[in-house]
Amino acid sequence: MLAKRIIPCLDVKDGRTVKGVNFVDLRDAGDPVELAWQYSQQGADELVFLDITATHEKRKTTIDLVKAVARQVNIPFTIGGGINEMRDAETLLNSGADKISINSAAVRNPQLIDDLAKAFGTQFVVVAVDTRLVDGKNYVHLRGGRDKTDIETENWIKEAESRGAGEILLTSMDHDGTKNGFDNGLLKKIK
Amino acid sequence: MIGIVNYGAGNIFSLTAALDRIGVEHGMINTKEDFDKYSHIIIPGVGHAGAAMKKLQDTGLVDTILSLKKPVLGICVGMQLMTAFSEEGDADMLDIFPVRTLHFGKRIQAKVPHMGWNSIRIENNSPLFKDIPDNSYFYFVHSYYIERDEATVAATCTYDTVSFAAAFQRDNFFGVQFHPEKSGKLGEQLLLNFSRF
Repeated sequence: MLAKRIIPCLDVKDGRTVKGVNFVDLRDAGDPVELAWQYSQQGADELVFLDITATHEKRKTTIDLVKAVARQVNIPFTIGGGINEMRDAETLLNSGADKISINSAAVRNPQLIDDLAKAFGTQFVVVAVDTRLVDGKNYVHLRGGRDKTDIETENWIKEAESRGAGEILLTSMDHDGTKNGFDNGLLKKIK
Repeated sequence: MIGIVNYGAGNIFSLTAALDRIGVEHGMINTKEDFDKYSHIIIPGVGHAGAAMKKLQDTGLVDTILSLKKPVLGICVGMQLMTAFSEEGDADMLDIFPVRTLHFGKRIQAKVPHMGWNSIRIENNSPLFKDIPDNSYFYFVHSYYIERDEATVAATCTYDTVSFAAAFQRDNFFGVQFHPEKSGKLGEQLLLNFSRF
């Protein structure tokens, strides 16, 4: 029987795990590789690392993180942050990542989802979506939640799936870090 | 010491990392002569089975692989290469096991690829699963599956309405459809069992 998965998601800033509330007030939460190892020992099924400060210049930091995780952790993991083109994804795959997560780059250039799915398979492509309720409707937000778009979350998720996203990593900015549980209303609509 | 057949089908970083974690030495096989250096052989593989078979043929290593008496383990597409035929690319494979690799797509309603942790039933007392409990979970990522053959099946997995060979064995040849290098402690145990066979 296929198991339901429990997947800790770690936000990484300048090589350290951080936690926040509603995407702000970030505080240090430890070494990502060490935390990853602990989560895997505690029974996590997979892991997700989102390098929230990743830029082209800092690409090497992300690659080093992926390699360190792949060496130490014996479960599958996803890496996201600053992936803009095919070459970025391929480098991370060859460094030991099982999947990549794209967010802003997919909204700016939706064809990237098709291209990645075609080259590496849909199982490799996770589309991360940050969503926030504005005037009663959920809208996609970019750049770590700083920029609101006019794209409605439900529509974007449908498009991402049809283009070849194997999984959606949906984060509710309204619920993030508040310990009030998942946004079950939104989840129900999307499922 | 384990030799990994290097034929350019997919990344092997995770596999070598897993072997490092369990303290099993390993190296790469690029030529026929390289086979002599190792006691055990792994054929890895991800991606398109037809394309992977073509790449393997291009290395000129196929005849040597078929004649091996050492333990050989195919992982994921590496296992599919050991079957007779794959629907992926409608390609002839190595034909070490007289079974076919079939597409899930037209045969089931559930989502394809079959991805995630699924339980397996151990069969025929396969030595691969020594010290691994029946109904343990392993990590799968695949869109094509291998037919179950009573004589060679070492573990069965069921996804939606299809029961397929999650592992098989014939003489010194082994294959696993799941990824032991990503399947936690039990995956590492399986690699250790293979290295000791």
